[in-house]
Amino acid sequence: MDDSKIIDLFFERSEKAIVELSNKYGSVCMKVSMNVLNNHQDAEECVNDSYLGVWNAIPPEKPNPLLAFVCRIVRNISINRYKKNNTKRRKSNYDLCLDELENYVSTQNTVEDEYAETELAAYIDEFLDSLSKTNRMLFVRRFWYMDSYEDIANASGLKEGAIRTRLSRIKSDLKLFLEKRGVIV
Amino acid sequence: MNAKGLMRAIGGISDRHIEEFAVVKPVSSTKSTWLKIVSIAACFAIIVGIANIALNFIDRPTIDEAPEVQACIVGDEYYELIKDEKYIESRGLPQEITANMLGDYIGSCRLESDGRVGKAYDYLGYSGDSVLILELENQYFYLFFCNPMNIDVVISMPDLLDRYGLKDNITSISIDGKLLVVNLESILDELTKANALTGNEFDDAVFKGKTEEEQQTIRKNMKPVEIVISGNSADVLVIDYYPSLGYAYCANTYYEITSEFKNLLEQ
Repeated sequence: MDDSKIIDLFFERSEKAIVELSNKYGSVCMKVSMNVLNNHQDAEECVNDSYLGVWNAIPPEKPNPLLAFVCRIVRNISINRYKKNNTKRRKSNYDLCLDELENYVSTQNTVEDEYAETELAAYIDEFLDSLSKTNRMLFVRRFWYMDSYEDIANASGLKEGAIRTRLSRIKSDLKLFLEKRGVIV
Repeated sequence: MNAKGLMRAIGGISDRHIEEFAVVKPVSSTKSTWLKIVSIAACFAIIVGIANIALNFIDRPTIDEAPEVQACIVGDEYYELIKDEKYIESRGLPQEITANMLGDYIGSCRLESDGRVGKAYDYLGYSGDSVLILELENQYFYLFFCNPMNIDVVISMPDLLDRYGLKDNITSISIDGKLLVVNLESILDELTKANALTGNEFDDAVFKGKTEEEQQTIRKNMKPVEIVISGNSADVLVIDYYPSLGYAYCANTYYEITSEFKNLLEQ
């Protein structure tokens, strides 16, 4: 079903909207949530919470693209759930991504940093636009969708060693890119 | 800014980037079976390694508890620490490593999974430096060369052979499991003439200007065969060769094979 028809169903307050949304984007939502939580039950609950979030947001929202809108909600809810969970359960791709980024940022976090995150996202967009499509895909799949290297390799056909090497280079380039714009990460 | 802040900022990137890669399409070649197994094992091992460290954030596991394959950095190159006995045997190496097998000190070696640092030494049994020995926590491990960290760095074919101790020292070449017995010198001569390309240069050479359909067809036909090169007191070099393209691949470098090389193989 087209995204626009699914949104129409939300506007009509038809429960079929959730069914169609789940049919179309349920698997990608579960993947994102599982990458963060590494727990099927928690992921399922977060995805369901996300559907509720979408139900509450549409209307008045009329998101386009719908996929990014839903995935963003799933990612945020999953990360929040992760934070509430036992901190000893550091074993998801989210942890691995944090570990990888830690070498590229300082350990301090200030009030200004919180404010800067929105601006920083815009800079990261600009940086992503400057990358080749392949490198952009690697960055987005690893740090937005939080896919494992194995998953990226299987999906893309690239070798895992090559992905690691490319991402290492991309992270260094991002740091340099941000520093040139006065952003100290 | 800490890593969590940066992750939050990444979470705020534009919808178009999120949607662009909601589904990932293949962008490059397939892998040879053995290297695929090793590669997946390495990735799995790294993930398990990191997860192990994460789970035992305070009580760091000993090297004995570490996975069989771990990525390591020596200088500006990736090596793999591999403990699998069968793999070690396949590289013609003794299982037990003793102090008298250590050559010159090469430099420090950092395990990518947990940041542990050890000392890397030359392995005296082989010429070349594709195999090193890591001294870590009073134990020895083999390190196997993977690729330079910088994706723009290529290794020429003569340098690759030299790295594996095979320069002027080749005793056999096999392709797709078949031992070559004639034209060995000519084949080797042609192989060393292969032009070395980065991944991006290879993508440009093979895929640029092609439609999505044409690219899919090229990828579908990219069936690798293994070129295995051995020598006296030297490591075994395995190169992926794609006959349909006339390119070979090893250590993050693509090699443009000469037409004469292909002719010799057909003979």
